[in-house]
Amino acid sequence: MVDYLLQALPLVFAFDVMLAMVVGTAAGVAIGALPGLSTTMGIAVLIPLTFTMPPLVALGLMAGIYNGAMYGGSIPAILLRIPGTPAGIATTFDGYPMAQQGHGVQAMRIALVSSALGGIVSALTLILLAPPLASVALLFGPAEVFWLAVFGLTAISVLLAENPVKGLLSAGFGLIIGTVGIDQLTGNERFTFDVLELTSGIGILVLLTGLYAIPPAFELAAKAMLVNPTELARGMASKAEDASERFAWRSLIPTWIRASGIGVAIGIVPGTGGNIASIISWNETRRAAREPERFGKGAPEGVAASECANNADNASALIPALTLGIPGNAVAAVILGGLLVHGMQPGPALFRDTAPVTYGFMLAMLITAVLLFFIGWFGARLFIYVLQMPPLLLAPMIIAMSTIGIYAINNSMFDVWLMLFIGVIGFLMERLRMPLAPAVLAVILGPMAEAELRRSLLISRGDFSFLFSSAISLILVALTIIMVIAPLVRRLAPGKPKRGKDEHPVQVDG
Amino acid sequence: MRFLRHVLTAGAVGIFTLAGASFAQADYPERPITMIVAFSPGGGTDVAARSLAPFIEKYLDGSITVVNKPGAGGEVGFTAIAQAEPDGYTIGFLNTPNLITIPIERDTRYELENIAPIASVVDDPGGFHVRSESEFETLDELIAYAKEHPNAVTFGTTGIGSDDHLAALALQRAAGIELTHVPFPGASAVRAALLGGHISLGVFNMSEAVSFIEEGRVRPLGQMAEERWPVTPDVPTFREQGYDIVQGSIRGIGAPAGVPDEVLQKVASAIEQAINDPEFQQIAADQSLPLRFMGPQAYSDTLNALREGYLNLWQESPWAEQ
Amino acid sequence: MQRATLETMVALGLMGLSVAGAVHASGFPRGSAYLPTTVFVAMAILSLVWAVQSGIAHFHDKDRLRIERVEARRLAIIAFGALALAVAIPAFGFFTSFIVLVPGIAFVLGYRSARGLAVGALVFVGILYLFFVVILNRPLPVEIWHALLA
Repeated sequence: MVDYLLQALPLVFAFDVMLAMVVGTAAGVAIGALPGLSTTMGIAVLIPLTFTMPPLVALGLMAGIYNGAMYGGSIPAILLRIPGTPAGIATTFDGYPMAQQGHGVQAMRIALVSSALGGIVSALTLILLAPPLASVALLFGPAEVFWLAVFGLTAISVLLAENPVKGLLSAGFGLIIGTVGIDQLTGNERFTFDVLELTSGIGILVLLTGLYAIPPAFELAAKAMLVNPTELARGMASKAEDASERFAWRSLIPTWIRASGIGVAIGIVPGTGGNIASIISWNETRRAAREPERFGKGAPEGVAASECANNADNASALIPALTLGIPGNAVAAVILGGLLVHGMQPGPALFRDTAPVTYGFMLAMLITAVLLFFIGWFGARLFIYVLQMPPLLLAPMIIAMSTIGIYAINNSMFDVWLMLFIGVIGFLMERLRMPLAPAVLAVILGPMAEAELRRSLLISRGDFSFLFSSAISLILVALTIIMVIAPLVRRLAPGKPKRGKDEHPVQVDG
Repeated sequence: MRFLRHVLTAGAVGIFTLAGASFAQADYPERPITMIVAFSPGGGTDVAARSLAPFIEKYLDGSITVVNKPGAGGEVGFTAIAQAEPDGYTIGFLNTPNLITIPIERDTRYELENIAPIASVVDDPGGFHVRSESEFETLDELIAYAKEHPNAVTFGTTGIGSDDHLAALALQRAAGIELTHVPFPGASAVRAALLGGHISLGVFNMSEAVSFIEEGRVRPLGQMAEERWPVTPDVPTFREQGYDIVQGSIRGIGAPAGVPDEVLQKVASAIEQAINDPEFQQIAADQSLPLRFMGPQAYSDTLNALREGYLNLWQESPWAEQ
Repeated sequence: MQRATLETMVALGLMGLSVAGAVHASGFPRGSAYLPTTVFVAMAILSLVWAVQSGIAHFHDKDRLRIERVEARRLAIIAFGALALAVAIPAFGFFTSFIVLVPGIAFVLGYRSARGLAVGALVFVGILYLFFVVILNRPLPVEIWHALLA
């Protein structure tokens, strides 16, 4: 392996490949930062363009976009509470409150460093441990993935906010949206009402953009100002002070370790993605924290956990993809397509016959993660200028951008109308103080849980004990139970007085 | 004098118009052609389409833009093809059995008659696969076991109504056995489940199994082609083993019905040349694509024959609940 | 109107929808029906609870819904603006619609700086054009002036 790596190094540091990686990362940050644009589409669309390019240049571009977009989604998530990518939703939980408290710049710095670190860990795992970890991927059958999805769903309980009833209704709404379309397991149509475009379901991007980008645009227009202009302005003006303000980066190390681990692990499981990794990581970090109440109100660890995990999921999703041809998430699936187009078949042949290019690609994942440190920061600063735009101009721009982004995914005006309709629902939900996050989580995890449960029961022919028959399943069940019980136990446990809600939750000193 | 001039002008105009009209036909394509792919970018059909498109462009002397219209197992894309203007500037990839089975399963906005097949490109036979650690060495052993333990053998396919599912149904009828069907969202999911030991049998196309067979992780019990695929010469066909089951996924290109014949022929011959282009042959080999060209008539006949077969199957044992 | 009253009405409406949904979903063939029916039944119960909660709150929480005239007007404008965009795009093309409607909506909302509108619109449309047409080469509906000229 070492000699393959050595062979790959000069290839990767060739000028055109380096250029491709830089351009890819920059494009990725842009794609991630703009709501309505999807990473999967960005890469998929590139594939034909890369026909005429040497494979490593093409792969360098893809690696850059992949890593860049996962970070890019955090920028509007923090500054505007609009996640640029579905994986950014967990970043809004703590990132936006931090911005509201004037720590937006710091939140973005944390997001940047966390993303880069997560990407680096993931790429190293890919390079060093791909084959053995691939076999771990295979251990996750329907029962195990079901429990993983359930584990992720427990995060909803935290997001219930003010009135649990409203939160649960929101989750229910998400679950129903997740069932729209053709039922994988039986071929029946559910809730399609004879509309052709609904038979393939309501995409996560349509839902996410509808719920998270349109209502803020409406509010921007209605209120004619950014939600917390003074805070944000103060935060940006104090850029210089922030730099000298000693932020305890070291305090994030345990979070980073945990988040990277979770991200890498979830990436390996086929069919799961960065969306799930960031949610589970945020939830786990919260549970393990000494003061979980801080989370959701501007805890830096929350931002770190989410961003580190969603980037850590990137390269590791390629592990089963490259070794077994089984993609770990949607983007990995498209990248596999890109490899095929260049004549590279997944499997051991990839590591033998085309080894230098393959290792070059893995190195590209590593290098682009590092490039994030520099390029990502540029993107963030550019975006800050966006905030200085007059809100009355910004509002129609956000809506316009969402329309073209959503349209471009499937060339469907229906999707655009659906997104706007969901946007109106989202706006009403916000006004009624119903939380949006449970709906999004339910849409991502609900269908997965349902399908895998039914698949498990098919395999076991109705025997529920099948769900508890493997070690991994049992571990996940235990984790789920802990997740649900822990807050109750904490409340009952004597000792620590509860911190007041208005106490400044962000700890700025060492 | 003036009259003569009028006549000459009229004649000239007439001649130019006629020439122009025939030139217009001869000059097809004059603008970019849209090729609709009914599946998501990055998937098997999409990759095949994007790999083939540049070669068709070469021989057709035009430009092709691939547009993805995924959804409903291909129905969205097929409908788009059927409803497009029949001027020869919209074509698309057709996948069987979906193209044929979806209108049988449910009410659709297109029928097979609304589509004019141009040429087939890929004929990918299905196959029954077990993992190499499995106890089943041959198809007969599997069938014998299944007879004694009805519903004990779980098999994964790429979905309800997929070619894999239909093939398995056909085998169950032919051999008189009962297996348990577990649908998955795609071939890679079936492969993962099979390799992980979560299902006993995986039914998916040979092209998706090839690299794993070569690696020795997957053991093919049979391929559902008329003849053995040269890339997997050691795998017996189902016919050889006594079961007359020929099932697979045929991918080809079609246009909305009503496109002038000469345009269809032009495109068909461009496709034929593209497929025979040595560079493309190399790409197809790299991607393990089993190529098979059929011209418009042969392709159309094949599709109609397949439809007959599927209609019969549906009458006897519908594969989806209505 | 009191906030609590509005919430009660919405909750009751939601309950009605959930019951209808549960009935519709129970008609699905076996396996497909479990999840949606259960969820709808749960939602019906939850909305009932919500209705009761807000019904009770009606009596002690006198928080009235207030929306300033000016805010409501802007809200209506942006909503219509979004609608206008959705209608215009297939008819006129993305970029034509954007270059007219984005500054147009901003203007009607109250943003009057001519320079801001012009620069903003041009840069916005320019970047999007660069991204979607030049770089990504996405097929988009034909721009109206394109169709008229061609």
